[in-house]
Amino acid sequence: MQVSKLVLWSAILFPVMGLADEFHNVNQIVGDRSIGMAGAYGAVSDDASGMVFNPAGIAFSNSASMSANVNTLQWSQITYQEALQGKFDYQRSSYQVLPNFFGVVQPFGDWKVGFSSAIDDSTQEKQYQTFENLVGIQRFVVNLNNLQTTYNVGPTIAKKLSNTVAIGVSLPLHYHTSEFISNQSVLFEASSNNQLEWSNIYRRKTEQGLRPKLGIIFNPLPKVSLGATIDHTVVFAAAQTLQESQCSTNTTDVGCSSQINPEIINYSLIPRYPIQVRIAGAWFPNSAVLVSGDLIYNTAVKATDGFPAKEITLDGALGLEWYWTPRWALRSGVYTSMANTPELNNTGTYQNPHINRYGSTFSIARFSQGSSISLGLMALYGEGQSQLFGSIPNLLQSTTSLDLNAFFTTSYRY
Amino acid sequence: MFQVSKLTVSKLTALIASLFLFQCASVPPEDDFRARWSDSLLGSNVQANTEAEIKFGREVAARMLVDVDGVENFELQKYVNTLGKYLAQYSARPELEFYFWVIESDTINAYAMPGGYIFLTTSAYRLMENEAELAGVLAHEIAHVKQKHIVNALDIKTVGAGATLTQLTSGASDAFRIAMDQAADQAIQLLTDEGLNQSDEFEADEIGLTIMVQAGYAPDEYLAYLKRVSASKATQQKELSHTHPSFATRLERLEAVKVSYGMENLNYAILEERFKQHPLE
Repeated sequence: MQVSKLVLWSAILFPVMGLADEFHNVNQIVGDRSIGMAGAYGAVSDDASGMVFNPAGIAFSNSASMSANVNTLQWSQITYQEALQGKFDYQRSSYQVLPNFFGVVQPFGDWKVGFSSAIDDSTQEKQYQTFENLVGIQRFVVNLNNLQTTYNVGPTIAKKLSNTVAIGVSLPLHYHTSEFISNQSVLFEASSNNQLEWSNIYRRKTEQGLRPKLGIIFNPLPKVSLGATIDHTVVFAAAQTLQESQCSTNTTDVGCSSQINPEIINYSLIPRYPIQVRIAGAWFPNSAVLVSGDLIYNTAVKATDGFPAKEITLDGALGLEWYWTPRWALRSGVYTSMANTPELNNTGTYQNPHINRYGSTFSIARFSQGSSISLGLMALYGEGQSQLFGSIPNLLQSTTSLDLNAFFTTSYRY
Repeated sequence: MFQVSKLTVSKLTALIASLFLFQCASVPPEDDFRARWSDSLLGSNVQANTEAEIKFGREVAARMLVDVDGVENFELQKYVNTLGKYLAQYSARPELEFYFWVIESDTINAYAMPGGYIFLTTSAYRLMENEAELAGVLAHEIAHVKQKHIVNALDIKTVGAGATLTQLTSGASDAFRIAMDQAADQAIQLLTDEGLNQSDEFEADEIGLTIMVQAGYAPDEYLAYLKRVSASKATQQKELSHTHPSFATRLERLEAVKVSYGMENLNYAILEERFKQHPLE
């Protein structure tokens, strides 16, 4: 009984943010062609969605273009296996309709200029769960609301230095907002000395900054393109708000036997982000086939006040585009989204989840003159470990995550 | 079971390979290796639309020539054609071959048909005093072609859904052939009776003026010519007055265009002598 109680209290005190989050450096994949090719786009990037992957690429666009993810239906689920009393899985899911990209590119003299709006990361959990078969507990209710979004919005400029080399710079505004509300209630069985435990946590966070990105594309051989980018999110201002309250009652004490009184705490801690380097290559054997691959390296980040350290990650993406007629094309790709957290160990406490994820995409596109529409699916599966009850060492949960994403994208050249 | 699976995989592999090889053989070569196969749709449509525009213009021109005769003066026709083709270089429609033809008519007018077919009446030519005036009139008509004013006025969509110009000129069905006849008749009606939108005429004046200046001709001569036409016999300018905005408004706008484009006091070519070497008779 006491273990159950401790375990549940620990859950209350350490709400893990397992879904789309700061624990991975590759989250949303955006764009039109690029999303179908799993983000293996750093050496292609010759349309509006290129502004996100390699700003130099738009210098190779032959005309003004516009592209948008009209709708992205995203469903995510994370499962903490045997998390509750060692026999019940704890699942959290997120569902959202997210138009996550819009971009326009236009020629401007010898330059190409563009503007893009991309959602780099987003989750929207609205959850109400009740567990009724736990030992010694009549009812355990978890009510969770977790909204997180990171926007990158801003201009891009690019220029061809020669027929084979182009450079480009993007300067998007980085804006992150998140809001986390957790209400948990434990009603113990009548035989217990404990009666009720209740807690509420409210956290809000905003960040403003810039994410400058410098890119270059080089065509060393006919039909071969190489690309490289470097970018770094720099946060200028951040604000956090935290409020926690909890109360537990028993049969002997009057009022709360233990409690945390609600208090709003405001603070301003500046998070640090890794430097990201992308190295990419693409092969265009003919106008119907394109094969591309990207390596995405993110540096480590030291822990700062309020923020955990991040480890080096190396992610990869491989994409294929194949036209079987001028009007129809298939795109497909695979990619990774490795955890930037350290692997969990049995002696640590309050450890962040470490879940490595592997994804694949598939889309079909139809072209009509200057426009195209694409319909596709994306799946991302992850495996790793979590520590739901942060105060208890040696209690880790095997964790799996699954993201399914149906997307409808369009682009237009004019 | 394994054998069946192996066979199935082999068949599937062969199918994909054959599709890939077939597709590779069909793919057109591209100068720009980044160009995708879908880009050919854009190019083929532009080409198809241009061909349709030329075909439609040729049909309208042929119908116009049923009722009028061309001037039998080879030197004059050559002169007007040479000047017109020179001006057309500034039309930004390099895909078109322009043709200029002086036709017998008591009416002062000029007609621009889609695809680059331009007629100038003998009465309009007689009223001219120099080559710059001729250039101004031809440039105005070239501007109509450049902006596809007739096609737009007939509400024929050159791209997109519905009855496109390409479909109309394809002769693919009786319905399209009938529609093509009707469209050609409507075009002649627009040219000789109803006229284009006033905004189209103003636009043609503006673009025409920039074309003649780019070609090196004095823009004031075009304005002088319009003033002379406005003062000509009412019977001669009846059609022009009916199908165009008032001369006063056109001249007022042209003066504004000159100011906004910095075309005032340009000491450009007038070429009176050369013009007079090509009389009508």
